[in-house]
Amino acid sequence: MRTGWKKTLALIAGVGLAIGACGPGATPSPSAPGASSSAAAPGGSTAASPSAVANACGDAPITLNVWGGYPEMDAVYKKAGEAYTALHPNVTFTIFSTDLRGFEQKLTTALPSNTAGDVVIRTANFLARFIDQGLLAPIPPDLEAFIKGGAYSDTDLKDATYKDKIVGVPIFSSGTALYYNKDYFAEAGLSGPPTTMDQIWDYAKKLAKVDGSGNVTRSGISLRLSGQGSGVAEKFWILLLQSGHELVKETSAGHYKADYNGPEGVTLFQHYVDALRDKIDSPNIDHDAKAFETKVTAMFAREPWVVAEIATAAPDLVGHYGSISLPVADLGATETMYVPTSAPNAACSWDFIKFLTAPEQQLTIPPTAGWLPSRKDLDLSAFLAANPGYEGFLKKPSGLKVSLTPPIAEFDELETKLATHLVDAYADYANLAGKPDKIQTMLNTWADETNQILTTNGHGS
Amino acid sequence: MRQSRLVPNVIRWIVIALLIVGGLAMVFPLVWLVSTSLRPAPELLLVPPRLLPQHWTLDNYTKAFASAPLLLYLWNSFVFAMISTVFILLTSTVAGYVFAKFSFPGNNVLFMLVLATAIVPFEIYMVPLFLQVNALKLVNTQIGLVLPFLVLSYGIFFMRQNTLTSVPDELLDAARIDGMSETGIMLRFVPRLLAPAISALAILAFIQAWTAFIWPLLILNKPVLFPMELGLSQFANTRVDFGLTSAGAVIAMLPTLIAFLFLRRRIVEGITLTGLRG
Amino acid sequence: MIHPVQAIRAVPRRTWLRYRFVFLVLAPIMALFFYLRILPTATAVVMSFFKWELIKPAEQFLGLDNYSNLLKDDNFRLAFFNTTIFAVATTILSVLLALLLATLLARLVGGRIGAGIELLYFAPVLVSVVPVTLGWREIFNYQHGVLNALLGGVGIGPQPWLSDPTMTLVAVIILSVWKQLGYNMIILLVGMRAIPRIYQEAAAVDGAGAWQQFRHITLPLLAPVTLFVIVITTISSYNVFTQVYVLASDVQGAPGKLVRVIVYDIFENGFRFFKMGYAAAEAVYLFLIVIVLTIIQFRFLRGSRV
Repeated sequence: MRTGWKKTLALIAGVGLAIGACGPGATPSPSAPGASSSAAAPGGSTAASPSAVANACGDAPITLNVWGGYPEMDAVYKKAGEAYTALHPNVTFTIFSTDLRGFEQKLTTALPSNTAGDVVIRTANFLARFIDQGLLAPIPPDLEAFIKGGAYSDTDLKDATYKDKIVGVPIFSSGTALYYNKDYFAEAGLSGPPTTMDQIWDYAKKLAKVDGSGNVTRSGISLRLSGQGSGVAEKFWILLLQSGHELVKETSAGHYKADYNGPEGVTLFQHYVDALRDKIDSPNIDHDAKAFETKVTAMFAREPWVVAEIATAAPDLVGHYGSISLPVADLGATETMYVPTSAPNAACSWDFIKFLTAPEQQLTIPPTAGWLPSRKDLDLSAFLAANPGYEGFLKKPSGLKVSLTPPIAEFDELETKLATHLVDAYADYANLAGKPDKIQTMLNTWADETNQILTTNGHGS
Repeated sequence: MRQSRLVPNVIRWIVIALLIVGGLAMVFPLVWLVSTSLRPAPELLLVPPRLLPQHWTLDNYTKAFASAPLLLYLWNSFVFAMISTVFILLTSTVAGYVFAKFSFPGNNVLFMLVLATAIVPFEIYMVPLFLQVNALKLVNTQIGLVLPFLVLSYGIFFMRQNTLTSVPDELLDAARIDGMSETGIMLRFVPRLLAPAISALAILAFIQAWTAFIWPLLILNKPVLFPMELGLSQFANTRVDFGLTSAGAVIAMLPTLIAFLFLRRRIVEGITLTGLRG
Repeated sequence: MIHPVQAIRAVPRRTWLRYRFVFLVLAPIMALFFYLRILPTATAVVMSFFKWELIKPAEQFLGLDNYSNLLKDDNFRLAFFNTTIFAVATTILSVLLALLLATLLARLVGGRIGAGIELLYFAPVLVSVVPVTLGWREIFNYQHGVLNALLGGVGIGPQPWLSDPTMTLVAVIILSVWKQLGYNMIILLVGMRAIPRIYQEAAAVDGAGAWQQFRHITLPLLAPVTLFVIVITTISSYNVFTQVYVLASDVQGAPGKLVRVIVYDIFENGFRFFKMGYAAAEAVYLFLIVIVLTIIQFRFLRGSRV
């Protein structure tokens, strides 16, 4: 039997080799040169991107590895790569991306061991540790001058800054808006979307539906009540911003203190548990984008990618929903581009990054990936007219305050731990609704933990 | 196949019926996955969900093959899994046999050490292992990919237990008296007795390599080297493309299914060779 | 005091040859093991005594601080509690059911039907965890899921599979038993079919019935393989992670409730908070728990040289 085994294995190996010989070649064929991006040229004047240097990439064949954490952006990078290859035929691209968790693990092993790609795209926040270790190269002066030259908003610049230096080149940005179902609003006799927090809670009450057995069949607003990671705390934070408070507030340069356990924090938490008690939302109903797309919720707050998802997964909703900016404040995030210090073709990598800041490339992002470009000096009016779902992201009230993730390494930890507490507390809503004192005590306990984490890491106030 | 005549046929058929019902319940999630892979995107969020799609479509499959070099990924997975399986079978059978049938100082300690390494979660030792492999300059290579998959603690444990069950000492002594060398016994005689177990281990080792994700993710950068699971995660934005992800999962499942069907017969055939003679 | 050379000469030649054989065979395998498993694990264990932030080299020696802080950590305690309940339930259920299945398939059902049934129960093992867990999320859905629909059919109200803390744990157990069952079944089947027929034939000649044959011949002879299945199911249950992660992630719709298990906590501490030394200490605790359980299981199932 053993010899029989060997024969079988040899046979399999032989067949396998034969298939391999006839199968696709060992290297994927490079993207065909000649195809350039097709986005419409922006109207009006825009700050000129630094022109791509003619020979930053030399003449020898180079392959640039582009690493990103959002697979939906792959198509953008690929198209940009094809356009770039048209200008520099010796440069080909491989795009590597995976979901965020895998991506973060990958960066953690690859950057310190100098095996990372040529262009890395992530938030300055997350990469702060790596920057501290000197693993990411500083931006070349001409590119830095361009970034500061007015093409980007102050918020984007701030999010790309670490220790008073701009460390990454912004590419696409995120924010949150309130999605609402127009049909349900009309049915409830509401003339338009809510423009204040009070209206949001008020409308939610009117929009919720309960069936005969007391189960919520439509939530007035879909709150983030469960899940892993820091998402639950992040959504709480976004609503807390509307009352002028942060999760942690900077008291002096580099020092922070928990800011969610004041009276506004208590009030917001009360809204959550009251909503659960009064059957405006329920742990048992679907939540989030899925709930909105299957029409079991009337409102929910999320980032721009939902618009793209609705167009593909729930086309019957198109035209029956809208998005509106949050009343007072928003939480922003900017994905930025870097070149690892160990990258062999740094000049070429920076040149490609410059290329991606060009208006034509920026404008490919919304139709392809659903995210919004970071450059603020582009004309997106045609795009908005064709995709009204983005209204809440592109039409912001004047004076809207945009908050950012504080540039402290331990923020993820304290946000995640707060999220764990919130999840447990929401589950306990029956015992907490209508008990502001109890809620205050609970928030204070959590704030102690938050402050403890800050202090341990040298950022306590 | 011998059937126990001690149990009446009626009971036998009832048992079979119950087993089939249970079996259908077991594959229901897989049927659902296949059905999802045959749906167009707007049908992914049906409320209430339907088992069978209203509009059958192979779009997800064509899209899967179009957006990524799936055949290449399948081939990479195949090579990876075959190398891993061969090594694991070799090391496990040989070590399992030695641990089971030879007394020597340190037998128990070494075996417990092997078993202990099975307990530690991969997430913990993967970073030091990555740094070790990096020091050997094997990052982003096929060798680096397959290295941790050359041995399997469970494998050694499994073969040891099966040797204890299926290889009586008397048989070994008889072979030795007959003049067989120790090496001959180890590489020809014993595996014949353990054919079913070897087949079972082959399947399990194959599946483990086939569905590996985290190590390939860490060690590989060039898509041209990617195995299936890693390749799939590249193009699927699982939010919108659950149909696509499902199609990928179905494609990935087929080779392991074939491997199982191929090896299963060996598991059954093996029984005719056991038994003491005379 | 025995003179070493005399002691070596006192070993019979056959024994010496035996030792040499064992050494030649095991040395290369153990060398691979050492490099691929023992060395990295030992590195991680050493790191558990330091403040190791993964990206920077470890700086501060912390002694047993990581270990004592873990004991005070609510997340770790919850993880330990959840994981233990999960492991016990999953092991008992999947091993007993697999034993039942294997027995029925080996003795009662045969031929093509048996092969088909084996395939049905083994199929869950073949499929990748992430997509199939997303599928299970739909099955567990409160309003539209198949499970609640079936329960409704027999008059039981819908269960909050993914929102209630207890029910979510039950849901993860169901999912894991589903995935593990076929695996255990195949292994037990192999073991059963390997038992030399001659023992059962002899017992039948002596007048033993089916049940007695099973209890006094099959089961004891199956003990080593049964021990294997129990031990590996325990180990892999303590290592549960991906299912829990996927059920609670916000990919494809709303996340379910997170069931905090040990490896999830390790992952979070190590790769999210970058407290790798702390996570390594946690892994050492996990290791100690499981090795104790394994030793207990070995003792308990001690049959003829298990």
